[in-house]
Amino acid sequence: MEQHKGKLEIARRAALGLAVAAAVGYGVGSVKAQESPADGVTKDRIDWGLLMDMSGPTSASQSIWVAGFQDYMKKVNEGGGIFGRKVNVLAEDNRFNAATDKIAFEKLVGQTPVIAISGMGTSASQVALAPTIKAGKVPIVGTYTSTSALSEPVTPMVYNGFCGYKQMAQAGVGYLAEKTGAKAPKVVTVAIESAGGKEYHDYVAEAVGKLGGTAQLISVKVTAADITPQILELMAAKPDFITIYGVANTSILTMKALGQYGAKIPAFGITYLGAPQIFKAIGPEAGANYNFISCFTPGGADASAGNAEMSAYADKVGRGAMKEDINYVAGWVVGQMAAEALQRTGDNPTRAKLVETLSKGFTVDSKGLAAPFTYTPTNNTGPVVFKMFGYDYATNKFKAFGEYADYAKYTK
Amino acid sequence: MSSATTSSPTATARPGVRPGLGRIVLLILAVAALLYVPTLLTERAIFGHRLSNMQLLNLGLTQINLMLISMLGALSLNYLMGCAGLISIGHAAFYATGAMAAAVTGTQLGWPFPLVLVAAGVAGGVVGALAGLPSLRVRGLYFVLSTMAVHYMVTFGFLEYQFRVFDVVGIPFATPSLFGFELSTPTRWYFVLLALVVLTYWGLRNTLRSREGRAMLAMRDHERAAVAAGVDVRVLRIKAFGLSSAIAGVAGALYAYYLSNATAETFGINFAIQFIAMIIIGGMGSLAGAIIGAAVWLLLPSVIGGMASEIGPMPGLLGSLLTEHRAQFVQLIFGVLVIVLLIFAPGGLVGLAHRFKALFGRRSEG
Repeated sequence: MEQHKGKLEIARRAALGLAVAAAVGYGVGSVKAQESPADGVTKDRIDWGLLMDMSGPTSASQSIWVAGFQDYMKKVNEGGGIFGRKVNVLAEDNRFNAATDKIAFEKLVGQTPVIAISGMGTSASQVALAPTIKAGKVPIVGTYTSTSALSEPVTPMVYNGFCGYKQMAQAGVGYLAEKTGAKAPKVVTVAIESAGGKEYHDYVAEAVGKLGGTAQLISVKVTAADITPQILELMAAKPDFITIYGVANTSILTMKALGQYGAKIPAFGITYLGAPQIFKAIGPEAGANYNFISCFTPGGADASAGNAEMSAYADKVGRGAMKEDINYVAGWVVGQMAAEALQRTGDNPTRAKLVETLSKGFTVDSKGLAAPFTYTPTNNTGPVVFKMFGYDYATNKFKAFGEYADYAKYTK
Repeated sequence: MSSATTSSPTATARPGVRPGLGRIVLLILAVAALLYVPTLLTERAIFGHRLSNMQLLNLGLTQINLMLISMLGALSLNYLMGCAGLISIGHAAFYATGAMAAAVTGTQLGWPFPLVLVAAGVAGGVVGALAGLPSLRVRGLYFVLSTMAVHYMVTFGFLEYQFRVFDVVGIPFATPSLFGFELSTPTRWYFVLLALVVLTYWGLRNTLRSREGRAMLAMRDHERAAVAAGVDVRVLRIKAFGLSSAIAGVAGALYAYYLSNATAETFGINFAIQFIAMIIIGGMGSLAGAIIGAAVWLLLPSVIGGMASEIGPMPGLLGSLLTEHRAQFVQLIFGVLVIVLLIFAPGGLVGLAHRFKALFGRRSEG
């Protein structure tokens, strides 16, 4: 009986505690309720949304992009913000899941409203959300991946913020065809099964076709742990070179497996696969055959003002290890793009004003982290000039093959 | 008035006694609340008083709609696992079957949406009945493995279908129309989905109270005794699989239409496992448990995420977790909560509620 009374007392206390917590929460919420205007702008703050995979299968690259964006905004805020307002980054985790993406998108549009959204790293979700975005009021400023469903035809609601697949394919294929001396190159695309992977391969096939060559697609799963059957298929195709689309693991598995079979086929990964851990994981032997094509310069790879500024800030906030990751650089550059857009919108920004400003066109100068890129009312492609990068295992730094200008001929 | 709601459970449970006024009032309030949810979550205000995101628990209507679709999946799996005692990890396959049937009949053939749902249900039911066939020969973990094999066979079929007929981008689903009523807004979807969940719950509840439902529960509790009592357990197993997967098929079609695009990746093994998690959290064998489990599974991470973002700047490790690693932190807290729940409420939340009820019941009796 006593024991029963004791339990009862505990239950009563728990219920009382919950009631008090709920009341306090409600009260706190009431205060905050006044601070959520429709466009995500208050007198001292601008809310900017990010929609990326931060705990799912592609989080290894996408969460680093988020860090780059957040760090640039921290730097802006330390410098006084934009017209005195701090930029508050609301990063939503979509876990590479279309349903979660839909929920998070709705949240950033209506629940915790933001002035604009960056990222959107899940291509399948981009396809699903494209009609809603195009017909909506929240611009997507700086996409992490670009699908034609979202970015074509050109709309004032969408601005690509990453190296385009088409230009990646053109520059990469052009450079390696020239380097290997292949007249009509045979190329294999190793790609994860995704909307973006198929689109990228189509661009590779187009670029190879222009040179009179052929391209073959070999698909792998994003969560694959072993791709031996695909590697055997790849080797049977005897390609002049390979291009890889996917996550870090896709490159690692491909290059390691090729190394185990003693195959020395030149390969280049898409920009997202420009991470030092990939080169470290595959080692110098396989790494000698692996490069990546990028419209961004990794931290420490050159002495440009933008690179020095980003590297110094990353070191300052304890993210020095990330600065070499191309995803970090890309996030940082999109941060510059977002800040530039807000600056141009003026001291009283709204979603409509931001869209109006963006649609007139603007240029992003990252001070050397990428070749300057311009948006116009008829072209929202974003960065289009590329370079091939490899890894110098002696200095543990990335090395560029030539200058951005050398590659302009491939993407004309 | 209050005495009516706190009346003895034995009195309310007594057969032939009419429900008390308190229960009727509660029912009316519950219906009113459910009808008010879309307005509340769309306007983010209650009777003109604006509410903050946290007061609304960081929830949106899309989330509620996806939760309602998951409730259909959880209800059907609980019917199979909790009530019929057949453990299956092939539920994503039945969802995928429904989505595929919807793609063929809806996207390709242009059938009306109600017929598409019927087709999805039939396809799910047929595949489910076939998936249940091994249960006639194998038991336990062997049977679980057979349902896993079904999962991979169906998702492979989905992938092939998607690649051959559509594209790697996915299968598109147009905005559906129900008797001339276009489901173009989350609010419209909400009412359709809510009606389907209520109908499914009510249908399964009645099925479980029927002669066959009781036989199924007997089969779950003591198969040999059920056989001795004249129950044909082979037929019952196939029927349970067929009904459960038919509901999952319909849910799969709704899921694909709601997202407007579906890929084979959508229906991975994690998708199947989440339904098992839902019914364990809610309470295995209880239809109400399936509803509660789905709600907790779908909504709790969002509530935790909202709270984490409301806390504001914090020093040290906690600050770093809340700002730079919030996504992982939310997953961690959610995981810990689920483990704590499983330790202290092995019968799920419904079991926990029963324990509380018994505790307070004994007090009132004392």
